[in-house]
Amino acid sequence: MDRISGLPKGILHDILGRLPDKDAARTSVLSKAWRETWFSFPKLSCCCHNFFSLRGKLDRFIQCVSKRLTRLHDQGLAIKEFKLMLDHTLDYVPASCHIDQWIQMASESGVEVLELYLTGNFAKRHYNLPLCLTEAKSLTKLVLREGTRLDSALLNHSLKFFSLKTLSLRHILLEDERIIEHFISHCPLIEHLTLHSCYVYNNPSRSSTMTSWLKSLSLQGLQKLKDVDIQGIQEVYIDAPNLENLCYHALYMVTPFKLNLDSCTNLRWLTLWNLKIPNKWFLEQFYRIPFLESLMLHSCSFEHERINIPGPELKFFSLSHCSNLKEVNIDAPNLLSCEYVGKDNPVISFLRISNQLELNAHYDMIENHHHLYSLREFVQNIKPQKVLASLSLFIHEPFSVSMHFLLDWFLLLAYFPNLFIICLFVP
Amino acid sequence: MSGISDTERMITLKTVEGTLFDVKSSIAKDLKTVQAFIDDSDDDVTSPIPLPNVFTRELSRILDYLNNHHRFRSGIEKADEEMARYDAEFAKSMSHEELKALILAANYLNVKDLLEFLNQTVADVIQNKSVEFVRNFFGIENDYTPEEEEKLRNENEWAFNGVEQD
Repeated sequence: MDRISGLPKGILHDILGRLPDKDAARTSVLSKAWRETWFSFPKLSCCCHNFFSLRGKLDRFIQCVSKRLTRLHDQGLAIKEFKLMLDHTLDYVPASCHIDQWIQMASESGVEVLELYLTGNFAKRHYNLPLCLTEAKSLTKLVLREGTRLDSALLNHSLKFFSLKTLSLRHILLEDERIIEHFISHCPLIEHLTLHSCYVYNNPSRSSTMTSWLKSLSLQGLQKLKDVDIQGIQEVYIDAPNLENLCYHALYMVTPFKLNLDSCTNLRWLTLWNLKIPNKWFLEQFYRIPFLESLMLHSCSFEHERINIPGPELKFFSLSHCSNLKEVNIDAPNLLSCEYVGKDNPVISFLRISNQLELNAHYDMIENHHHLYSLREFVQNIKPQKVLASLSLFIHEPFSVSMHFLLDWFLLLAYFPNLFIICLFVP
Repeated sequence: MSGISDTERMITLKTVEGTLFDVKSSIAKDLKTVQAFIDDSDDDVTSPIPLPNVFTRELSRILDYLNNHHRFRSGIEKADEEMARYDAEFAKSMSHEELKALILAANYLNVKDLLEFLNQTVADVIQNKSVEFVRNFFGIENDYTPEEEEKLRNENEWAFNGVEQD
């Protein structure tokens, strides 16, 4: 006896939403009632890859997507989510006017989530985000990834993004450098912001198509902003008193960066990648973010080859691939876990520790006995030694060591009765 | 904010078969339909609340799930693993008939977390399976003519690529 087809539409739609698009589409063949359920399903996830093995694939893909959207739109049904993925193996320029229509229909049907992935080679041709999207008052999440351009026309337009909570732009071309700030200033409820590798035309009149990375960003008065992930912007000013999580990633370490977090006193998690960090700036930030719980430093370099980490609430600290570091002094009495990944031998000292503190070290690139010697120094210099909980080594080439050397190692390891060691050989 | 007496209060629920269940008011909060009934009542609810659409077997399972999840949430850090294990056992212990009945009951009682978990369990059954398998599993009657079904399958050819045939 079939009781499942009689479940309320809301439940059936929830189930369809948990399936990949192909499986959800197949349920339309189960029975006529299921076909009706599928026809009214308001979430569309259209990926051109599903059409790969079919003849005339782009045309059939366009036909299929148009049919689905038109059916919902013309019957006045909701289009809650529209995710589109096209890649360069299909020349999507002919599809542009269709994409315009699709976005128009979605905007008129209460779209909440819009995602466009136009991946692949588009150095010459970009898809211009249509202005009709600015009317989508219901939009809560917008994700644009590659292949899309934000036009200057947006600057003269009022953007009705009253409900937008999540904005994610990756590898997006901006016709004007003011566009992103203009965009964000129209999103009073924004909570999650991701900006990766966005670039601008060098010459505003567009007489050339040369581009460079967006140079600066200023985020002001965003009360709801909780989460920011920025990559490739040299100067960043953030005024967000409720910011909890920040990840800042420079594209090139050579250029100096400017990161102003003065008013972000509630910051809990901070991740910094690929930065050349002046010590004074570093310490100053710490005094402004006393509630920091997690700090991750990845591929950074430090002035004077030394860092001091004060962190009254710090629970987790990770130091990864930060070269030319000789000394790391950590004063974090509540620290639970510390991680070191690299191949140098900085002296790591913990001033005040809790009983639960564990240091896990991952040593990469062991190719000869010099590296092993370096590792031995690293282990010996940890203060206090008892915090070392695990050690993992990646050995790239087999090599031989003397018995004397091995004996030194065994004597050292005797100080660490509970140490957990993993050796991985990568041929 | 109410005092201690609020969390100790017991609510009595009555199933279709007439079985009575005593439930702590903190658990009853997760049964949003029941909570709405309590909120709408002017006086304190003392007599058993009748649930005309819910059978004993389902209510028992739902309360078991909620009691365990409350226990996990208020407990120690490692609760995530225990909870995952409990959930997996819970899903496996039911026949598909029982699963369907439970979804209907959870929907009627408006138990959000449990409903999401059950819907995911159903989705896990459907994923990567052929149409025939899903029809058999849920006892769905095929009301298409062979020609209609053929036409529909052709229109949705892209959705049938690489799926196991029954």
